[in-house]
Amino acid sequence: MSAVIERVGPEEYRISCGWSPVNAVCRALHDGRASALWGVGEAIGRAALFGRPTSFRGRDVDTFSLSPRAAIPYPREHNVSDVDAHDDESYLTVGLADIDPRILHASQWGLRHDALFHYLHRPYEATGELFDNSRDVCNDWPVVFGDVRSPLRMIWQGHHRSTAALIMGRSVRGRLVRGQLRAGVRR
Amino acid sequence: MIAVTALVWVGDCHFAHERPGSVAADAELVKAGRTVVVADLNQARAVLLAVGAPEQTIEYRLLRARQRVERGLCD
Repeated sequence: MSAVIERVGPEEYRISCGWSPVNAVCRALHDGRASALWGVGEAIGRAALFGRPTSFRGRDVDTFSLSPRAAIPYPREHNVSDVDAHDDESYLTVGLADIDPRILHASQWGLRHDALFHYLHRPYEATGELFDNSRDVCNDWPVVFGDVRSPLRMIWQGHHRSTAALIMGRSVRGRLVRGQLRAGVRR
Repeated sequence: MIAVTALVWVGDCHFAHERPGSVAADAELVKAGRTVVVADLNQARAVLLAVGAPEQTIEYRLLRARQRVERGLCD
């Protein structure tokens, strides 16, 4: 049976599997291995990303709070402005692909707990229901930039959807836009 | 070959998919995380309603799908 997060007080939670598996994921994330989140399930995933210990039983974490924001688990070495905008494909013309979320890099710093919770609990792939309902065409699908001169796959749109897919152990169906980084940008 | 959502396609689809044909069967497969191909946007609307998508979301996704068809784009 998968782990569950139980509320035990105002802003205080406990995870049914104990803290050890969460701690193992936290250590891997600290070492820069986002793939440690692959298929861990929503409870361990949320606890590892947003959990902040609030009490201990012996040396183990007993209860924790859930921070509204957390650092993105993916490496972040580039941002959107590093991409040569004159040389990439238009995301509108690119078909959909199933993209492995374990190998992605991020182009933004953080994640929101409420947004990730939405994608972990609402069947976005089935319904297309976004957390952000601003309905911008560039956000209709996850968009990933693929550098033609290196293995870099960087999320342009869909950081929360990609992280949710990683936690649930499934691919991200989105647009893989191929192009290259601007001259002089270190790969 | 247009995707209305990741799992609901119209016409054809280049991922592994199924074509049960009835709205109920389509919806059950989509709820199970499988990709289905339906005949047209009207059936896509019915399937999305059956899987619990909000009506505003459905209309938006159908509008975008229609626009891609009109521009000759496919997914």
